[in-house]
Amino acid sequence: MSTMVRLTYYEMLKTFLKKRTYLGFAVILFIVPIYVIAMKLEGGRFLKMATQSLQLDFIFTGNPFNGWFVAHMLMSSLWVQIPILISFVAGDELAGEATAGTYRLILIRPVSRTRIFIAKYITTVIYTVLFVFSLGLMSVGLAVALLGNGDLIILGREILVLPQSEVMWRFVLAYCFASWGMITVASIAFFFSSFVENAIGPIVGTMGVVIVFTLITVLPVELFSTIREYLFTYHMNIWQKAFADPIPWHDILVSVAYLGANSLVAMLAAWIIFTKKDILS
Amino acid sequence: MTSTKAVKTSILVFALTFFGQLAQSQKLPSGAEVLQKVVKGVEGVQDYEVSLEADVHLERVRIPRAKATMYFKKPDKVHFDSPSIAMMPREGVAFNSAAVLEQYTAQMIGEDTVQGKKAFKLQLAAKAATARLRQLFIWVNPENWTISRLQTIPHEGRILTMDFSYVLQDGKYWMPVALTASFGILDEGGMRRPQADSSSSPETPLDQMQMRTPRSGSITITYSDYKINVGLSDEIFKPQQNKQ
Repeated sequence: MSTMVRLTYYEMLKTFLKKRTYLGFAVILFIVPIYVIAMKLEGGRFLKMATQSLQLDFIFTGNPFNGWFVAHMLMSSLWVQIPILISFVAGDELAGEATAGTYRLILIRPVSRTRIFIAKYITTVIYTVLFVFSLGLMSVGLAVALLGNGDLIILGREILVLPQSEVMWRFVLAYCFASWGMITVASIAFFFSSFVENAIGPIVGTMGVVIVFTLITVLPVELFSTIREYLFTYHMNIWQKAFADPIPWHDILVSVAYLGANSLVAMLAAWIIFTKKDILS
Repeated sequence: MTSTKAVKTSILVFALTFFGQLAQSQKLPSGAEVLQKVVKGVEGVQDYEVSLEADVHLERVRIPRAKATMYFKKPDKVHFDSPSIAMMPREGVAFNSAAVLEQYTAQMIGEDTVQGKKAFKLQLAAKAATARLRQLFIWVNPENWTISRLQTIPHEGRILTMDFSYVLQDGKYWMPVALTASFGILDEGGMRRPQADSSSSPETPLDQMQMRTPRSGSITITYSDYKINVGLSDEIFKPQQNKQ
């Protein structure tokens, strides 16, 4: 066990000493303040536009355009870009060793390939969770600090208002679900990383899969209706269910199971490739 | 012979109806008189502060029961203060009869019954062609000269009915304690149709972004803790940033 912890620690050290690990954090440090400040300066014009026809007949009291609303909007807007940032690091975990020519060096250590593999996978998962929660902390913290507190208004097929007392734990739940979805993306990048020798391949491969599957998921084509729900992209919006009322726990469990199965398959496939791999570099 | 008898009968029926209606209309006050009495009843109210509780039951809208404070100051200043999001009907919640008298021409329709009580039904036509609500129907309770019901067509095919209940405040002003605003759909014959089936309407992404006005449902507002003529400052009514 201590070997496993030590291995993971060193993998973490290696990962967090690489500059590319901080690229994602730098992007959110840049995008989130811009988004929140722009929203603050805009003063809720988006919300006014979206509720324009309603405001002819109704008056909204309270502060619907608050930090929670902006944090929720930000989460919806950034959800397309996050997989790219995740795959930057996850795709480099194994391929990075090949690129740097350090595969042989790490594999001649008196630990099994499986242990090294597990340590690298745990590192990928930790990075993913850390990244998603950093985004959450940054967006919620900044948005609430600049735009204040209040109930959360969600504009979708219907108007749903969640009381302020419920909003915080729903965001925590949403970011837990989001992490779970992103672990699947990271696992796919990790899988691609296991059979290539350059980290660009896994990034492009992962994004290709995400884009194609997302298109199949969202296109209203009858042909795709039967396969749609088997794709992980169909279940990746699981975080949105944390803001439903009542929370559809059954649907969430189904999505958690699908995403978990996808992650597991990608991880096992990567493990098989990694353990059987003929290291030539 | 038969046709002469029929003509005589028709003339008699017409005469009876005409004179009957004439006699009845002579008993009834005019629309303007009724409206003036309504305005006079709250003439002394310069400003007020009241606590509201809104219970929203509209299609495609789910908002928890919310509390707010409403401030009103003559001639037409209204401000809502609430920590939580609430949805109030734009019309009626701070009904200003003086503004109605100024902007609409009232015509007496006749007597009717609202909530089991006799009421005068008036038709109000907007003086300005640009008015949002071109026509209103109001039912006035002659016991205390308050508006017990208001009905209008805010959009084509939609009908809004508001029922008010009043309590005497400060021993002299009849102020609303409850308002139920019901939204419905008119069919081609102008009749009210029951609840609409929201699932039957196909929605495009644009529809989803531009929230459409709910077609049916109701909002109940309860008023409490009136503070009348407390000398509200104009500062309260100044628009604040980030408020809808």
